[in-house]
Amino acid sequence: MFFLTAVLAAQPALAQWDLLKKGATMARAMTRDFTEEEEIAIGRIVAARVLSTYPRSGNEKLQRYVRLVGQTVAEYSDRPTLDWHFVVIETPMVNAFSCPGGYVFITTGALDQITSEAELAAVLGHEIAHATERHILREIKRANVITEGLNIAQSELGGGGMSDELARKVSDLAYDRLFNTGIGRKEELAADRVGVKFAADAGYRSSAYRSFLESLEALAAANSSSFSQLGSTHPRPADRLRAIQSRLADRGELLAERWARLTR
Amino acid sequence: MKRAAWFSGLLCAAVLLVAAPPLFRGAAESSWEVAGVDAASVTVLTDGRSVRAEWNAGSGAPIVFIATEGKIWVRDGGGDVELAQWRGGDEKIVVPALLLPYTTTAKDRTTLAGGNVETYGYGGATATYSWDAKGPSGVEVKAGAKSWTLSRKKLGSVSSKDASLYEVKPKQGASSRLAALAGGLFGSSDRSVSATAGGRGVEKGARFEDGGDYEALAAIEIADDEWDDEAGEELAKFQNEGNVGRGRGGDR
Repeated sequence: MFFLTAVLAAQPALAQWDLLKKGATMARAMTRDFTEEEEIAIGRIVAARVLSTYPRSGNEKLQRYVRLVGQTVAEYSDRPTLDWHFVVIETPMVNAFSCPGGYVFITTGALDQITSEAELAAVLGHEIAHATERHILREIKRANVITEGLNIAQSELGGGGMSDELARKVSDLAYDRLFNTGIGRKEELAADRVGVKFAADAGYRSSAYRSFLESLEALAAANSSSFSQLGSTHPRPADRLRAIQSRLADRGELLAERWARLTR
Repeated sequence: MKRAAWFSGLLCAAVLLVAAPPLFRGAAESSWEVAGVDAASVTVLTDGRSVRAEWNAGSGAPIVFIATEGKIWVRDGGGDVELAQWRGGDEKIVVPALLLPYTTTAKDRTTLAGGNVETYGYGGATATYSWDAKGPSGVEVKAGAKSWTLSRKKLGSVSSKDASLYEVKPKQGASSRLAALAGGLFGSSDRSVSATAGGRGVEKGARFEDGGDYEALAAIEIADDEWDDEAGEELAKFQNEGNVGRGRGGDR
């Protein structure tokens, strides 16, 4: 307060007014939720980091198929109008990633474990749910990196804007959550629950998710190296299955044949 | 004989290229009841140049369609989007039947009887019109196994001449939104980089020296933007084949 008074006293009236306005804007920014635009901007930073880690798969037929399934499920999510991007990335690691703002990635390793379109829909539904529930965004907020960024912007007075330094902090934090520590057990179970609902609302058979979790459990039991990353960031598949079991139903489309045809 | 066939072929082509005639002559306001969708109705206003249709179903806000200057727009959250980019339900199929002379694509075709539109084929749907002395009185819309019947309840002069009713305010796409961000909190630190996307080879969005592969990201965003232009039809076909999404007549 003393600092602010001293700074204000040293400024001409117009500059003081600008400074006050800027301060008020910054204060609002620190306490409010991120806007969708900001969410997309943060999501781009995280997505670019994912793409620097694993390349996009060159299998265009597969990319198109995953995009169609993803868009179908996303239409039944809480945020159907978000600009969703569904991307297959090339790695034997079994995993899928959701960045803020609608950037969803699934690995070729994960696709190798899937046997029907309904399974894919449930997996993408899980990732869509992370985005609609703003899980990564909450982590970024909790870590206060953006607040620090606002301070950086504030100290520059004239400009504002996301600096390379701040982008790196956001990127490092998201990378750590996605690839090393995970978002949290509660959030993963919530994403299972919400994601299965999105897929079922879109007309897919939710019980297909059981097969996917069972195949993950088999990898976990075998200590497969392709599962190590997912194992360190998610609850054990058997626990996830137990938690979601009662919500899985046999109605809806399985589309195992279309899956086989379009992924061959 | 050959020449006559060639000439009649040319004449046919010329007829097909004629723009669709308007349903309403001059400024008019009409209201329509829709059988086939619970408690749905459409109100259509035209000033003779543009057409505005409001689809009412249930207790939610009406869905507004504006047809003007060769395009059909739908009011969406955050602005207007072109019809092809909008993922609607029954209304996306039904309302265009009331927007003539504006058609959904250049490929749409109308047939005439006695100077009035008799049928209109568009995007997998066909509308068949009945007329009375005042104007169009009924429309039968069929798309696959589904059909809707529109019955005119009222036709008269327009209740409002406010030109802003036909104003289009295009929604900012992700790329435009990113452009807007360039000057804001999350704008690029590299001000020399354009935040707008225009097409292949154009840099898209903000880039930072943070270890991210923005080149690969921009390629994905641009490809997705391009796909979005044709997504509606491909997605509808995909969902119909799989009996998922809207393909099974599900709501959203």
